[in-house]
Amino acid sequence: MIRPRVLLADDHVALFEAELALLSAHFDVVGTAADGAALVKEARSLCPDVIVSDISMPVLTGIEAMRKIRESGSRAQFVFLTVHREEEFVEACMEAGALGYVQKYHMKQDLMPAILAALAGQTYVSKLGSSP
Amino acid sequence: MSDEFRHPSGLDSGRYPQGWPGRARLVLAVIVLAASLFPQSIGGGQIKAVRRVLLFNDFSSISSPGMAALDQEIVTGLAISPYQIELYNETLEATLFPDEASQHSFDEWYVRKYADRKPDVIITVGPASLKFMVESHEASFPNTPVIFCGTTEEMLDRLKPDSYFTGVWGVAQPEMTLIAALHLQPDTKHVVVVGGVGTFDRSLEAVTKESLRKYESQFEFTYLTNLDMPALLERLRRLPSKTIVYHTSIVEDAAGAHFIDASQSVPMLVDAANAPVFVTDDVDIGKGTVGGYVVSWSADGKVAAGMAVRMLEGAKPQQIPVVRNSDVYMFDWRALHRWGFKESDLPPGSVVMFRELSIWERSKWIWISGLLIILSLALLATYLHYGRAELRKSRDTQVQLSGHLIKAQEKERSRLASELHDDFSQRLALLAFGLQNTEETLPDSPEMLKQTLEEFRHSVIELADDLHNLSHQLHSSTLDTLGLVTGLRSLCKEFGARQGIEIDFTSEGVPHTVRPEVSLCLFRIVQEGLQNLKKHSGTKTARLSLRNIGDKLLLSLCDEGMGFDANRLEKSGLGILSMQGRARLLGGEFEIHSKPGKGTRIEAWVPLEPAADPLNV
Repeated sequence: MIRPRVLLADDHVALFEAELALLSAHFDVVGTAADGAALVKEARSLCPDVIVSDISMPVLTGIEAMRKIRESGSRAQFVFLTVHREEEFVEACMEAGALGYVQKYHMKQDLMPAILAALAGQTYVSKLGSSP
Repeated sequence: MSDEFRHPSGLDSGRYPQGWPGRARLVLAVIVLAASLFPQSIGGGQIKAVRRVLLFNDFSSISSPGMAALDQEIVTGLAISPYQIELYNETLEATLFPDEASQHSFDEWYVRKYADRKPDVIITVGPASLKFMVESHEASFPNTPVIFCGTTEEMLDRLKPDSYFTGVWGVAQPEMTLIAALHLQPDTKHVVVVGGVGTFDRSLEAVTKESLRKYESQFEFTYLTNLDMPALLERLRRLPSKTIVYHTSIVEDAAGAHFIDASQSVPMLVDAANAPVFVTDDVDIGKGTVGGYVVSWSADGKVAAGMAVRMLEGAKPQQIPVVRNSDVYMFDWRALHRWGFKESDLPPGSVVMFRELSIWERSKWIWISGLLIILSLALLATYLHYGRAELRKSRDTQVQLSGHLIKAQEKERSRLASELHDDFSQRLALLAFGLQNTEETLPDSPEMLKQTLEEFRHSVIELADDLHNLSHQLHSSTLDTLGLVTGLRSLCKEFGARQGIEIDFTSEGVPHTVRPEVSLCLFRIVQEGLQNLKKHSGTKTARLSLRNIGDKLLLSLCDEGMGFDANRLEKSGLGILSMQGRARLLGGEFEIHSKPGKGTRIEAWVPLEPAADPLNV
């Protein structure tokens, strides 16, 4: 079975490690980035199936990076992984064309379903707020 | 030497048949006057020896301004004497009563009058008095020293005062006046001498003729000295050009009319004459005459008084030599001006009287005052200008300072928010993840442990929520990440949900990307405005609009709540000041419109591209 190719972007080292471990169990993590600009560059060269990205990152935010990636013609699906829980963020991400919105507090149970939904062209949004 | 009269003694004799008691009263009056002039003799506390001074005048002070000036100097001069002066005054009225019988009866009367009051000194004023005294001295006032003044030596004719006489000769020098006149009017061809037929007049005419004789070959001389006044005036009206008039004295004209020379004759002559009129003595100046080398009667009086004081102290007349007073060049500025004479043509040392101040001299203090006032105003204006500049500067400094404060505050908020978000939140999330992992990797652990770990995870996530909220309050990540419009919408929604106030937010033409300092400024103004609205308006609805007009963003937050008196804005709190400060810092403006009961509208506009130092947050 061909594992979906995933590109991961997060500027927080410790969380990044955890995310990488979580993803590697099920997907082929083809690349990583620690800021928005690097993400754009990697996305253009690696052509992943799914991009899992933090929103608040140096240089470019995840949403800005996504716009640039879309402009370059990439069809990669976007799943945002973030600590933001305001609806405005969800709306902004969805408007920009993302399919998944996962809160980091719930990534253990939400990230896999969100990526799978994205691969299937469906949206997945974590329940906002603190309750698990 | 002018003078004359018109005298009261005729009048007096009408009232008092003998005439003399009236004169006695006059003498008494003079004594009283003298007493008042020498107060030390009355109030000095010591009894002084009495000395009698008899003053003989040709004319009374009333009828001769020249005599009046001279008498005044004598009275003043005698004041320094150590004695109690009894001053007697007699007026000869030689002009009014020139006949021998009158003069003889006067003579007898004076002898009788002063038989028991022998004067210590006699002072004669005028030629007639001196003549009278020269002729009657030996018989009437033997051994009494006599001081003469108010006359020229020539006027005495061939009479010679003896050794009991001394005094001061006035010196009439008409030729000196002529010389000055020729400097002033160099093309002079005619010299007209005017005078009367009185004794004094004739004396002066004779002196004048003698003095001018040597010029008779150079100029055409005309002596108008035998005319009645009307005829004289008529002649003076028709003088040929290039004429000067030299006036001697007219106390009596050819028709027998009497005049006071200085105050009656002179003004008439000046009015009539179509040529400049020069005169002989100082009292004739000031009535329109040009002036001349004039005799000063008051100077004579001073000298005579000094001699009298010395004699009263014991000096013999023989010890006091006769002196001649020098005359003085004196002119009337107004007459010089009238005839177009130049002051520079006057003889050196000339005294110019009645000088009229030039427009500059008259108004210079007004100008100087005006200038000073203008200067003061200019200084004041400069001061105020600088004061205002200083004020503006300090206001700028204040704005700058509040800018720095805001900037520092925002930086700190941003730093805290970033730290909370970027680190704490992330770490908490990681912790939650780790806890969940642990939970799963302990499948055989007791149920209790699982439960505890689950609760632990929940607590961690709650803590993360609180931290996130705090971070968000400090600095909106929505604003930073999603932009101004989204940030404001989010703010309105959160605020509305929290406070139960519905806020209708609309935006129009706002660019997707707005400079962070502009976004933050407007965001903070809305935050502050909403806080005020919550506290003061009492309303449950409000409208917020953000529009792009030209190169500015205009923000408007309105409610229809209670409102307040906008005139008392200066008492408003830090909130409004900070809204104002933030808008101004970016070169924008902030306004509050409100009336009690009519709601409140706050408006702020900020340029999209502020020129000022932006908030670097």
